[in-house]
Amino acid sequence: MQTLEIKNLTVEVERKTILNNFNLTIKEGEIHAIMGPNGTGKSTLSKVIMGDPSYQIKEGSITYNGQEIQHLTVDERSRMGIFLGMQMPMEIAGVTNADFLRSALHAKEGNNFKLMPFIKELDQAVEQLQMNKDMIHRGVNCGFSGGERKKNEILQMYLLKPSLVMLDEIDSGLDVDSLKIVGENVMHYHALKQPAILLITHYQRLLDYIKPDFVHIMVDGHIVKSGDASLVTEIEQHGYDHYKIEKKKKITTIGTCAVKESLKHE
Amino acid sequence: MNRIYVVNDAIEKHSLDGCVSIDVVEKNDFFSVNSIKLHFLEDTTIWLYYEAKEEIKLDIFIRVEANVHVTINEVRTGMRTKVQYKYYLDEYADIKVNKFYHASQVRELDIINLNGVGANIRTVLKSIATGEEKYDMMIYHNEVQTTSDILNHAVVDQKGKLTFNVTSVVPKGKTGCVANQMNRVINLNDQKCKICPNLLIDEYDVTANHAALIGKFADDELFYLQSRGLTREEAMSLLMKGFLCSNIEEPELLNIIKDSMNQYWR
Repeated sequence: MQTLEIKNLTVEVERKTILNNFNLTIKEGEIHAIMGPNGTGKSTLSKVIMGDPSYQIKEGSITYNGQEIQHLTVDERSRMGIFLGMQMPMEIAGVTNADFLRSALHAKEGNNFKLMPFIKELDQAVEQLQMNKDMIHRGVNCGFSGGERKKNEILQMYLLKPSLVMLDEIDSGLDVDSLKIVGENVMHYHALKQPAILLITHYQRLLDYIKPDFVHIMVDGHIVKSGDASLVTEIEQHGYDHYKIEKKKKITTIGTCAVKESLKHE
Repeated sequence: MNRIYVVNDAIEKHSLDGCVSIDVVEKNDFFSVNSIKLHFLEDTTIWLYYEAKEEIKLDIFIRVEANVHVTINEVRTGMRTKVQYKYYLDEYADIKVNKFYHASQVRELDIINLNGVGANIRTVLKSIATGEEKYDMMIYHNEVQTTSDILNHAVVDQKGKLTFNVTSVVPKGKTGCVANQMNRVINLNDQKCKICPNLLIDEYDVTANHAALIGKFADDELFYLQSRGLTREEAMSLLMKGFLCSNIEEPELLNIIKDSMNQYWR
């Protein structure tokens, strides 16, 4: 069974701790949603798993399929089957979407890459995502709307066939119809390939289409509460501030007298 | 299609369509360089190929008659080239210049005179610089409502060193002019490169933009491509292709650029 296991992960960027003793395990076929307020480290988590060299792992480990991956390069992780659908996909002028996808698949499959099945699969995915056919011959994400960029990320997911899919705020910039298309296609891919999915989102609306098995609330670089999909309703009712306070209360139970004193004065 | 081949001192003209008059003045006791006078009378396209087996020194005079639309595609390869262009554009003359250089040493001076009301020039230069290259471009908006769009892109490698001096001049009273310039150098070595984007504007009613950028490819771009399975080298190569092929619409020129890149970064 393919499993992502993150143990005691502490990550810094420019001497600032972003992830703090973070723990999470995702098994094959499971859908996990991480929710939390802005600036709490959710996107950092996905980039660290993908191997973004801007972030420094100070402690802990990331294991995928029993292999520690923190020393692997970004492309090596991708070829292991890890995929990150980004919040702000890059624009690359002069390289067409089709060229980019062909290069990516060629890198993954080497000599096994076959052009005709690729074209067939690409056409099928474009149709399924209700994308304009011209988009595959345009520069990667060039002149694409926010929604088109997100659909393009899902298109790449379909073709690269990852076993671990991370989607970082894939719902941002999507209108109601596009959200439905993206959500349904993620679920379709899940039914087809049974990947592990890690969703990062602020809002419940995406979870109307992608049904998570587990929901985690992340505050200040680690998970403060985990539960099933019903946790989403709780977040809708109380907002994230509720969990920030809960977290502070937790500190009083384990913290020093100085911490307890400081909380008394709040 | 009109084609001119320059191989060292030899100049050959092919397939002339009658839309352009070409006058070649060979170097003599008084003038140490060859010169070509191109007088465009009707809409047309012309290709200029330079192959400097040793050295090419050339003066080119380009005159575009009123309301004539011209495209000039230029390919320069080989050793040392030293070329001076002088453009004269009459009323509503429109010229597109697409250039691709892969020579070991380039020295170029472009003097662009937008002499007629509404004259318009768009130049796109792409260069793979492995030796010393220096470009001085002067764009004179001598009439109202004239437009210049200058785009210079170079990849500097090996012992390459490059300077772009681009100066747009709009005198007082020449209202409604548009002067844009975009210069970008991707440095693959540690040699010094320089861009001097100058806008000398003495009129309020003008739209003027300039951008100058020297550096490597952005880490975010590399991360995005690597996250799809491309190695760092493959990602760089794809970005380079995008950089050198963007804004070029002519398929024949695109193929020449791609072939040249494939041979160089094999």
